[in-house]
Amino acid sequence: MSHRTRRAHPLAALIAVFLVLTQSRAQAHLVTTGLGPLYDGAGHLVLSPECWLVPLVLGLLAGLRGQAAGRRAVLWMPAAWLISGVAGSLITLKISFPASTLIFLILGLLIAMDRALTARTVGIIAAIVGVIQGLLDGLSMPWREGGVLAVLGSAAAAWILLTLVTGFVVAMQRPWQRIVGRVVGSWIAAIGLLMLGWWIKQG
Amino acid sequence: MKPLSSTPSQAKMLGAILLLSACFTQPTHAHAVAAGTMSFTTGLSHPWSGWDHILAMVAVGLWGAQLGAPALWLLPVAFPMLMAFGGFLGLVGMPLPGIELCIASSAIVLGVMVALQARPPLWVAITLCGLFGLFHGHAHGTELAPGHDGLLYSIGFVIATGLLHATGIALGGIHRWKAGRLVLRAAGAGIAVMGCWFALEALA
Repeated sequence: MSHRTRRAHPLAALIAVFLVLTQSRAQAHLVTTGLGPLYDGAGHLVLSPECWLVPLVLGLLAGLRGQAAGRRAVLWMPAAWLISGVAGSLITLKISFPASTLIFLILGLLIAMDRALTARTVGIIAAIVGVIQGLLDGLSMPWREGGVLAVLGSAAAAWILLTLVTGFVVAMQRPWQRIVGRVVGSWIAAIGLLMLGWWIKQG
Repeated sequence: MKPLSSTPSQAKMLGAILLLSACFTQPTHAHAVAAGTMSFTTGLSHPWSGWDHILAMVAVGLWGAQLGAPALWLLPVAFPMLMAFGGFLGLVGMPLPGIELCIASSAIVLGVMVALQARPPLWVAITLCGLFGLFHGHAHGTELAPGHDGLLYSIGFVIATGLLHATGIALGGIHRWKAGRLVLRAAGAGIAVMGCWFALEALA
Protein backbone atom coordinates (compact mmCIF):
# COMPACT_ATOMS: atom_id res chain seq x y z
CA MET A 1 0.00 0.00 0.00
CA SER A 2 1.40 3.42 -0.89
CA HIS A 3 2.12 6.18 1.63
CA ARG A 4 -0.52 8.26 -0.09
CA THR A 5 -3.18 5.61 0.62
CA ARG A 6 -1.98 5.25 4.20
CA ARG A 7 -2.37 8.99 4.73
CA ALA A 8 -5.85 8.82 3.28
CA HIS A 9 -7.11 6.46 5.99
CA PRO A 10 -7.15 8.85 8.98
CA LEU A 11 -8.35 11.60 6.68
CA ALA A 12 -11.28 9.49 5.47
CA ALA A 13 -12.11 8.61 9.08
CA LEU A 14 -12.03 12.32 9.93
CA ILE A 15 -14.43 13.09 7.09
CA ALA A 16 -16.76 10.27 8.19
CA VAL A 17 -16.80 11.55 11.80
CA PHE A 18 -17.38 15.07 10.51
CA LEU A 19 -20.34 13.93 8.42
CA VAL A 20 -21.89 12.09 11.35
CA LEU A 21 -21.43 14.91 13.84
CA THR A 22 -22.79 17.63 11.59
CA GLN A 23 -26.07 15.95 10.68
CA SER A 24 -29.32 17.61 11.49
CA ARG A 25 -32.59 15.70 11.70
CA ALA A 26 -33.45 13.70 8.58
CA GLN A 27 -35.72 15.74 6.38
CA ALA A 28 -38.70 14.46 4.43
CA HIS A 29 -38.68 17.54 2.22
CA LEU A 30 -36.01 18.87 -0.07
CA VAL A 31 -33.16 20.91 1.40
CA THR A 32 -33.01 24.39 -0.13
CA THR A 33 -29.42 25.28 -0.97
CA GLY A 34 -30.30 28.27 -3.16
CA LEU A 35 -28.30 26.74 -6.00
CA GLY A 36 -31.17 25.07 -7.84
CA PRO A 37 -32.84 21.66 -7.70
CA LEU A 38 -29.77 19.70 -8.82
CA TYR A 39 -27.79 20.85 -5.80
CA ASP A 40 -30.88 20.66 -3.59
CA GLY A 41 -31.04 16.95 -4.43
CA ALA A 42 -27.33 16.47 -3.69
CA GLY A 43 -27.74 18.45 -0.46
CA HIS A 44 -30.71 16.30 0.52
CA LEU A 45 -28.54 13.18 0.28
CA VAL A 46 -25.57 14.68 2.11
CA LEU A 47 -27.72 16.02 4.97
CA SER A 48 -29.90 12.94 5.48
CA PRO A 49 -28.06 10.14 7.30
CA GLU A 50 -30.55 7.48 6.15
CA CYS A 51 -29.70 8.48 2.56
CA TRP A 52 -25.90 8.72 2.66
CA LEU A 53 -25.55 5.66 4.87
CA VAL A 54 -27.03 3.50 2.10
CA PRO A 55 -24.24 4.03 -0.50
CA LEU A 56 -21.73 3.84 2.33
CA VAL A 57 -22.98 0.40 3.44
CA LEU A 58 -23.28 -0.85 -0.13
CA GLY A 59 -19.76 0.39 -0.88
CA LEU A 60 -18.48 -1.53 2.13
CA LEU A 61 -20.21 -4.73 0.99
CA ALA A 62 -19.13 -4.41 -2.64
CA GLY A 63 -15.58 -3.35 -1.77
CA LEU A 64 -15.06 -6.33 0.52
CA ARG A 65 -16.16 -8.64 -2.33
CA GLY A 66 -13.48 -7.30 -4.67
CA GLN A 67 -13.00 -5.19 -7.77
CA ALA A 68 -15.49 -6.95 -10.06
CA ALA A 69 -18.28 -6.69 -7.48
CA GLY A 70 -17.33 -3.08 -6.82
CA ARG A 71 -17.57 -2.19 -10.51
CA ARG A 72 -21.04 -3.74 -10.79
CA ALA A 73 -22.27 -1.92 -7.69
CA VAL A 74 -20.90 1.41 -8.91
CA LEU A 75 -22.74 0.89 -12.21
CA TRP A 76 -26.06 -0.56 -11.07
CA MET A 77 -26.90 1.29 -7.87
CA PRO A 78 -26.83 4.88 -9.28
CA ALA A 79 -28.60 3.79 -12.51
CA ALA A 80 -31.40 2.08 -10.56
CA TRP A 81 -31.53 5.02 -8.12
CA LEU A 82 -31.95 7.51 -10.99
CA ILE A 83 -34.61 5.54 -12.90
CA SER A 84 -36.58 4.67 -9.78
CA GLY A 85 -36.19 8.21 -8.45
CA VAL A 86 -37.57 9.77 -11.63
CA ALA A 87 -40.50 7.33 -11.51
CA GLY A 88 -41.04 8.20 -7.85
CA SER A 89 -41.10 11.94 -8.56
CA LEU A 90 -43.90 11.38 -11.09
CA ILE A 91 -46.23 9.49 -8.74
CA THR A 92 -47.81 10.18 -5.37
CA LEU A 93 -47.43 7.41 -2.86
CA LYS A 94 -47.19 7.31 0.92
CA ILE A 95 -44.68 4.79 2.25
CA SER A 96 -44.52 4.69 6.04
CA PHE A 97 -42.29 1.63 6.33
CA PRO A 98 -38.65 2.61 6.87
CA ALA A 99 -37.09 0.55 4.08
CA SER A 100 -33.63 1.93 4.92
CA THR A 101 -33.65 0.02 8.20
CA LEU A 102 -34.04 -3.28 6.36
CA ILE A 103 -31.23 -2.30 3.99
CA PHE A 104 -28.94 -1.59 6.96
CA LEU A 105 -29.96 -4.80 8.70
CA ILE A 106 -29.57 -7.15 5.72
CA LEU A 107 -26.44 -5.59 4.19
CA GLY A 108 -24.86 -5.21 7.65
CA LEU A 109 -25.40 -8.90 8.35
CA LEU A 110 -23.99 -9.88 4.94
CA ILE A 111 -20.88 -7.79 5.64
CA ALA A 112 -20.45 -9.12 9.19
CA MET A 113 -20.83 -12.75 8.07
CA ASP A 114 -18.42 -12.16 5.16
CA ARG A 115 -20.70 -14.08 2.80
CA ALA A 116 -18.94 -15.11 -0.42
CA LEU A 117 -21.27 -13.28 -2.82
CA THR A 118 -20.52 -13.33 -6.53
CA ALA A 119 -20.08 -10.08 -8.45
CA ARG A 120 -23.40 -10.77 -10.17
CA THR A 121 -25.22 -11.12 -6.83
CA VAL A 122 -23.65 -7.90 -5.55
CA GLY A 123 -24.81 -6.18 -8.76
CA ILE A 124 -28.37 -7.42 -8.19
CA ILE A 125 -28.29 -6.28 -4.54
CA ALA A 126 -26.97 -2.88 -5.68
CA ALA A 127 -29.82 -2.56 -8.21
CA ILE A 128 -32.46 -3.48 -5.59
CA VAL A 129 -30.99 -1.02 -3.09
CA GLY A 130 -30.91 1.66 -5.80
CA VAL A 131 -34.56 1.04 -6.73
CA ILE A 132 -35.74 1.25 -3.10
CA GLN A 133 -33.69 4.28 -2.12
CA GLY A 134 -34.32 6.06 -5.41
CA LEU A 135 -38.06 5.56 -5.04
CA LEU A 136 -38.02 6.94 -1.49
CA ASP A 137 -35.99 9.90 -2.71
CA GLY A 138 -38.21 10.52 -5.75
CA LEU A 139 -41.40 10.45 -3.70
CA SER A 140 -40.12 13.36 -1.62
CA MET A 141 -39.18 15.33 -4.76
CA PRO A 142 -42.28 16.01 -6.93
CA TRP A 143 -41.49 16.69 -10.59
CA ARG A 144 -43.44 19.96 -10.50
CA GLU A 145 -40.86 21.33 -8.04
CA GLY A 146 -37.89 20.33 -10.18
CA GLY A 147 -37.92 16.81 -8.78
CA VAL A 148 -36.27 15.17 -11.78
CA LEU A 149 -33.20 17.41 -11.52
CA ALA A 150 -33.18 16.92 -7.76
CA VAL A 151 -33.23 13.15 -8.20
CA LEU A 152 -30.34 13.50 -10.66
CA GLY A 153 -28.45 15.49 -8.02
CA SER A 154 -29.06 12.95 -5.28
CA ALA A 155 -28.22 9.99 -7.57
CA ALA A 156 -24.99 11.73 -8.62
CA ALA A 157 -24.06 12.40 -4.98
CA ALA A 158 -24.85 8.77 -4.11
CA TRP A 159 -22.70 7.59 -7.04
CA ILE A 160 -19.74 9.74 -5.93
CA LEU A 161 -20.02 8.51 -2.34
CA LEU A 162 -20.40 4.89 -3.45
CA THR A 163 -17.40 5.11 -5.78
CA LEU A 164 -15.19 6.67 -3.08
CA VAL A 165 -16.17 4.12 -0.42
CA THR A 166 -15.92 1.13 -2.77
CA GLY A 167 -12.49 2.20 -4.00
CA PHE A 168 -11.35 2.81 -0.45
CA VAL A 169 -12.55 -0.63 0.74
CA VAL A 170 -11.18 -2.51 -2.29
CA ALA A 171 -7.76 -1.09 -1.35
CA MET A 172 -8.08 -2.63 2.12
CA GLN A 173 -6.10 -5.83 1.55
CA ARG A 174 -4.64 -6.59 4.97
CA PRO A 175 -6.54 -9.15 7.07
CA TRP A 176 -7.05 -6.79 10.02
CA GLN A 177 -8.49 -4.15 7.67
CA ARG A 178 -11.07 -6.63 6.40
CA ILE A 179 -11.91 -7.53 10.00
CA VAL A 180 -12.48 -3.85 10.77
CA GLY A 181 -14.82 -3.76 7.77
CA ARG A 182 -16.76 -6.74 9.10
CA VAL A 183 -16.98 -5.22 12.59
CA VAL A 184 -18.38 -2.03 11.05
CA GLY A 185 -20.88 -4.25 9.19
CA SER A 186 -22.06 -5.73 12.49
CA TRP A 187 -22.49 -2.22 13.87
CA ILE A 188 -24.57 -1.26 10.83
CA ALA A 189 -26.78 -4.34 11.31
CA ALA A 190 -27.16 -3.38 14.98
CA ILE A 191 -28.21 0.14 13.93
CA GLY A 192 -30.79 -1.34 11.54
CA LEU A 193 -32.19 -3.57 14.27
CA LEU A 194 -32.46 -0.70 16.75
CA MET A 195 -34.15 1.48 14.12
CA LEU A 196 -36.66 -1.29 13.42
CA GLY A 197 -37.52 -1.46 17.11
CA TRP A 198 -37.74 2.32 17.20
CA TRP A 199 -40.15 2.34 14.25
CA ILE A 200 -42.38 -0.31 15.88
CA LYS A 201 -42.36 1.67 19.13
CA GLN A 202 -43.41 4.86 17.32
CA GLY A 203 -46.37 2.91 15.89
CA MET B 1 3.96 3.70 9.20
CA LYS B 2 5.36 7.20 8.82
CA PRO B 3 4.20 9.78 11.39
CA LEU B 4 1.37 11.97 10.20
CA SER B 5 2.42 15.39 9.05
CA SER B 6 0.57 18.27 7.53
CA THR B 7 1.03 18.17 3.76
CA PRO B 8 -0.31 20.57 1.13
CA SER B 9 -2.88 17.95 0.01
CA GLN B 10 -4.12 17.52 3.58
CA ALA B 11 -4.33 21.28 4.02
CA LYS B 12 -6.40 21.46 0.82
CA MET B 13 -8.65 18.67 2.06
CA LEU B 14 -9.13 20.44 5.40
CA GLY B 15 -10.00 23.62 3.52
CA ALA B 16 -12.52 21.69 1.43
CA ILE B 17 -14.14 20.27 4.58
CA LEU B 18 -14.39 23.73 6.14
CA LEU B 19 -15.87 25.11 2.91
CA LEU B 20 -18.36 22.23 2.76
CA SER B 21 -19.28 22.88 6.38
CA ALA B 22 -19.84 26.58 5.65
CA CYS B 23 -21.95 25.79 2.57
CA PHE B 24 -24.28 23.51 4.45
CA THR B 25 -24.61 25.61 7.58
CA GLN B 26 -28.26 26.24 8.28
CA PRO B 27 -30.01 29.01 10.24
CA THR B 28 -29.97 28.50 13.99
CA HIS B 29 -33.21 27.29 15.51
CA ALA B 30 -33.60 27.21 19.26
CA HIS B 31 -35.28 23.81 19.36
CA ALA B 32 -35.96 21.80 16.22
CA VAL B 33 -32.52 21.55 14.61
CA ALA B 34 -30.86 20.73 17.92
CA ALA B 35 -32.86 17.48 18.01
CA GLY B 36 -30.58 15.74 15.50
CA THR B 37 -27.37 16.56 17.33
CA MET B 38 -29.08 15.88 20.66
CA SER B 39 -30.14 12.43 19.46
CA PHE B 40 -26.61 11.56 18.40
CA THR B 41 -25.02 12.79 21.63
CA THR B 42 -27.74 11.14 23.75
CA GLY B 43 -27.10 7.83 22.00
CA LEU B 44 -23.35 8.34 22.34
CA SER B 45 -23.57 9.06 26.06
CA HIS B 46 -26.13 6.38 26.96
CA PRO B 47 -23.74 3.39 27.28
CA TRP B 48 -21.57 5.56 29.57
CA SER B 49 -24.51 6.26 31.88
CA GLY B 50 -23.71 3.55 34.46
CA TRP B 51 -20.61 1.77 35.74
CA ASP B 52 -22.33 -1.62 35.41
CA HIS B 53 -22.59 -1.09 31.65
CA ILE B 54 -19.12 0.43 31.26
CA LEU B 55 -17.28 -2.29 33.21
CA ALA B 56 -19.06 -5.15 31.43
CA MET B 57 -18.32 -3.74 27.97
CA VAL B 58 -14.68 -3.02 28.81
CA ALA B 59 -14.41 -6.54 30.27
CA VAL B 60 -15.56 -7.97 26.93
CA GLY B 61 -12.63 -6.19 25.26
CA LEU B 62 -10.18 -7.31 27.98
CA TRP B 63 -11.28 -10.93 27.68
CA GLY B 64 -11.08 -10.76 23.89
CA ALA B 65 -7.51 -9.45 24.17
CA GLN B 66 -6.60 -12.33 26.48
CA LEU B 67 -8.15 -14.93 24.19
CA GLY B 68 -6.57 -13.49 21.04
CA ALA B 69 -7.87 -13.93 17.45
CA PRO B 70 -10.55 -14.73 16.42
CA ALA B 71 -12.24 -14.09 19.81
CA LEU B 72 -10.54 -10.69 19.86
CA TRP B 73 -12.98 -9.42 17.25
CA LEU B 74 -15.80 -11.99 17.46
CA LEU B 75 -16.71 -11.05 21.04
CA PRO B 76 -17.01 -7.31 20.27
CA VAL B 77 -19.17 -8.28 17.25
CA ALA B 78 -21.46 -10.64 19.18
CA PHE B 79 -22.01 -8.26 22.08
CA PRO B 80 -23.33 -5.22 20.10
CA MET B 81 -25.40 -7.46 17.79
CA LEU B 82 -27.18 -9.17 20.67
CA MET B 83 -27.31 -5.88 22.54
CA ALA B 84 -29.14 -4.34 19.59
CA PHE B 85 -31.52 -7.31 19.60
CA GLY B 86 -32.08 -6.74 23.33
CA GLY B 87 -32.69 -3.05 22.59
CA PHE B 88 -35.18 -4.10 19.92
CA LEU B 89 -37.05 -6.29 22.44
CA GLY B 90 -37.03 -3.43 24.94
CA LEU B 91 -38.33 -0.97 22.37
CA VAL B 92 -41.21 -3.21 21.27
CA GLY B 93 -42.12 -3.81 24.92
CA MET B 94 -41.19 -7.48 25.28
CA PRO B 95 -40.16 -8.05 28.90
CA LEU B 96 -37.11 -10.00 30.07
CA PRO B 97 -36.83 -11.28 33.66
CA GLY B 98 -34.16 -10.16 36.16
CA ILE B 99 -32.59 -7.47 33.98
CA GLU B 100 -30.63 -5.65 36.71
CA LEU B 101 -29.40 -8.89 38.26
CA CYS B 102 -28.24 -10.22 34.88
CA ILE B 103 -26.41 -6.94 34.17
CA ALA B 104 -24.66 -7.19 37.53
CA SER B 105 -23.91 -10.87 36.83
CA SER B 106 -22.30 -9.90 33.53
CA ALA B 107 -19.69 -7.83 35.38
CA ILE B 108 -19.12 -10.69 37.85
CA VAL B 109 -18.83 -13.45 35.24
CA LEU B 110 -16.78 -11.48 32.71
CA GLY B 111 -14.56 -10.15 35.51
CA VAL B 112 -13.96 -13.70 36.79
CA MET B 113 -13.18 -14.88 33.24
CA VAL B 114 -10.54 -12.15 32.90
CA ALA B 115 -9.17 -12.81 36.40
CA LEU B 116 -8.83 -16.55 35.74
CA GLN B 117 -7.63 -16.04 32.16
CA ALA B 118 -10.35 -18.57 31.27
CA ARG B 119 -10.13 -20.17 27.83
CA PRO B 120 -13.47 -21.87 27.17
CA PRO B 121 -14.42 -23.03 23.63
CA LEU B 122 -15.06 -20.08 21.32
CA TRP B 123 -18.79 -20.73 21.05
CA VAL B 124 -19.13 -20.66 24.86
CA ALA B 125 -17.37 -17.27 25.04
CA ILE B 126 -19.52 -15.86 22.23
CA THR B 127 -22.75 -17.20 23.75
CA LEU B 128 -21.85 -15.77 27.15
CA CYS B 129 -21.04 -12.31 25.77
CA GLY B 130 -24.09 -12.35 23.50
CA LEU B 131 -26.40 -13.34 26.35
CA PHE B 132 -25.14 -10.53 28.56
CA GLY B 133 -25.35 -8.12 25.62
CA LEU B 134 -29.02 -9.02 25.27
CA PHE B 135 -29.79 -7.88 28.83
CA HIS B 136 -27.68 -4.71 28.57
CA GLY B 137 -29.46 -3.81 25.33
CA HIS B 138 -32.88 -4.48 26.80
CA ALA B 139 -32.17 -2.07 29.66
CA HIS B 140 -31.11 0.62 27.20
CA GLY B 141 -34.13 -0.01 24.96
CA THR B 142 -36.67 0.38 27.74
CA GLU B 143 -34.98 3.51 29.14
CA LEU B 144 -35.09 5.31 25.79
CA ALA B 145 -36.75 8.72 25.99
CA PRO B 146 -39.21 9.64 23.19
CA GLY B 147 -38.65 12.57 20.84
CA HIS B 148 -35.24 11.58 19.48
CA ASP B 149 -34.17 10.79 15.94
CA GLY B 150 -33.98 6.98 15.88
CA LEU B 151 -31.17 6.70 13.35
CA LEU B 152 -28.83 9.26 14.90
CA TYR B 153 -29.50 7.91 18.38
CA SER B 154 -28.72 4.36 17.18
CA ILE B 155 -25.51 5.48 15.44
CA GLY B 156 -24.29 7.21 18.60
CA PHE B 157 -25.30 4.28 20.79
CA VAL B 158 -23.53 1.65 18.67
CA ILE B 159 -20.39 3.77 18.22
CA ALA B 160 -20.14 4.32 21.99
CA THR B 161 -20.50 0.58 22.64
CA GLY B 162 -17.81 -0.18 20.08
CA LEU B 163 -15.51 2.43 21.64
CA LEU B 164 -15.92 0.82 25.07
CA HIS B 165 -14.97 -2.57 23.61
CA ALA B 166 -12.04 -0.96 21.80
CA THR B 167 -10.92 0.59 25.09
CA GLY B 168 -10.95 -2.88 26.65
CA ILE B 169 -9.00 -4.35 23.73
CA ALA B 170 -6.44 -1.53 23.86
CA LEU B 171 -5.98 -1.93 27.63
CA GLY B 172 -5.79 -5.69 27.10
CA GLY B 173 -2.73 -5.11 24.92
CA ILE B 174 -0.61 -5.26 28.11
CA HIS B 175 -1.35 -8.99 28.06
CA ARG B 176 1.84 -9.57 26.06
CA TRP B 177 4.01 -8.71 29.11
CA LYS B 178 4.21 -10.84 32.25
CA ALA B 179 3.54 -7.89 34.56
CA GLY B 180 0.76 -6.80 32.25
CA ARG B 181 -0.94 -10.18 32.53
CA LEU B 182 -0.96 -9.81 36.32
CA VAL B 183 -2.39 -6.30 36.10
CA LEU B 184 -5.05 -7.57 33.71
CA ARG B 185 -6.06 -10.40 36.04
CA ALA B 186 -6.21 -7.95 38.95
CA ALA B 187 -8.43 -5.66 36.84
CA GLY B 188 -10.70 -8.64 36.13
CA ALA B 189 -10.93 -9.37 39.84
CA GLY B 190 -11.76 -5.71 40.47
CA ILE B 191 -14.54 -5.82 37.87
CA ALA B 192 -15.96 -8.97 39.50
CA VAL B 193 -15.96 -7.30 42.93
CA MET B 194 -17.74 -4.28 41.47
CA GLY B 195 -20.22 -6.70 39.89
CA CYS B 196 -20.96 -8.15 43.34
CA TRP B 197 -21.66 -4.62 44.57
CA PHE B 198 -24.06 -4.03 41.66
CA ALA B 199 -25.78 -7.37 42.41
CA LEU B 200 -26.28 -6.38 46.05
CA GLU B 201 -27.76 -3.06 44.92
CA ALA B 202 -30.08 -4.89 42.50
CA LEU B 203 -31.28 -7.25 45.22
CA ALA B 204 -31.71 -4.50 47.84
